[in-house]
Amino acid sequence: MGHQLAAVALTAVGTWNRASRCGVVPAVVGRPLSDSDLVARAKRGDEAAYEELVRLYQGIAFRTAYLVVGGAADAEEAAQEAFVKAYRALGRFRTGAPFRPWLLRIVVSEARNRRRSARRRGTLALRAAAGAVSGDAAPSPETALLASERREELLTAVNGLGEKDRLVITCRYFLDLSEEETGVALGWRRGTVKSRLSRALRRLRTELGDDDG
Amino acid sequence: MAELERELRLLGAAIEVPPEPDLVRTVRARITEREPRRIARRPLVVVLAVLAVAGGFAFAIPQARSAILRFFGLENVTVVRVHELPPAIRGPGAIGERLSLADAEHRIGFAPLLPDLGPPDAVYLDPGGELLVLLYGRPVRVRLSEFRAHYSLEKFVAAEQLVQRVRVGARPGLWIQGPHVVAELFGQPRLSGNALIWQRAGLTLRLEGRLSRDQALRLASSIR
Repeated sequence: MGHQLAAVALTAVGTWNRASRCGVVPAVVGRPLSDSDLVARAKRGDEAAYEELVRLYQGIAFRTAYLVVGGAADAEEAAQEAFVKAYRALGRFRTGAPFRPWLLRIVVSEARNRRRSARRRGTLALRAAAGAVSGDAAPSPETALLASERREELLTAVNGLGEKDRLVITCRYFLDLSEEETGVALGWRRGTVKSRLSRALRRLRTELGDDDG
Repeated sequence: MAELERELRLLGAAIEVPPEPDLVRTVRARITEREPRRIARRPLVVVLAVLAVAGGFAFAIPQARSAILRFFGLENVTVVRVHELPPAIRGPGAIGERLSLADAEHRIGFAPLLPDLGPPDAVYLDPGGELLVLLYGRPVRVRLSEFRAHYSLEKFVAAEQLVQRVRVGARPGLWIQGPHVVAELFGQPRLSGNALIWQRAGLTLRLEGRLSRDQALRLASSIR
């Protein structure tokens, strides 16, 4: 009796899963699914929906990991691991919450772990001739306005910051996350983001000798 | 201030970032890798399910992700049965930030439950601020983790390992005997020894250490 029940339950799960995977196809035709639709589908075991989320967010995930860890191979590994972990953790993801900062939190954590265990810590560098890059990565006119000498100086100062200062600067300015998203991505309260950010800016200013604020 | 912030935004655009790799295929391969084995495993699952009924205690967890068992009373602990344990680090791993017990309590927002072992030798909070870890003994003999219902753990156990349903006082719990891999949301998967998991007062507790089942149950009952 008991084992029949167990077997029935397992079969039911299998069938239901296959059915939901088939179900995604027609819905994709028409308007693209929103993040929360995709997450809801992925939560029900729809792997195609999760692949779509990977496609949408792999760029920002890799960039985030790279900016934290400072090496391409580690960044790729961290981003990949984060997507796998996020998939397994989808059951605990609160429906309706924004997916991006939640994912980035796992990415940041993976990247921080790799940075801690790396024998040589990567530092960030400027793109070669960052003021005059050709092709699709052409800088905006504003980028060119920031003198290259000043950029080098600023980057050296950022590279020299402590981990938390660097993380908050990375999230807020290099990734352009909002304060709220930064809080979720780093697992800090909003007030902590504000205070750490102003501390990091203060340190940078001291380091750069900008005392006029 | 505003000028420096503007400069930092511009700097972000000028930092060299290598071209992004395509992760879709590798992630797909990894999240589906257990699927083909599901069919092969099912007979074993059913056999062990019979044992569960017969023995009342021992039971198996099917390895397919879609059929992960969520235990009654332990909804936020997932146990996945696998042929081979995933790669994991040995030792305590990086837990997070080390704090005093009072600071940790303030940050996590609940009063930690404490076993009858005197004050912990070290207290850590994970980077997400949701998992509290208390370490006892030097070197560590007992590791007690506490988290609220919205956080959760994933555990991988080898096919041959039995997981036992136990009672901690009147509350349902889970005893995993022998080495298994525990994956917390943050940090790397870690090889763990014997572990007891149960819930109490809205918290999930996980006790790990060189303890027999009876020792773990006794220690768990001392927790206030």
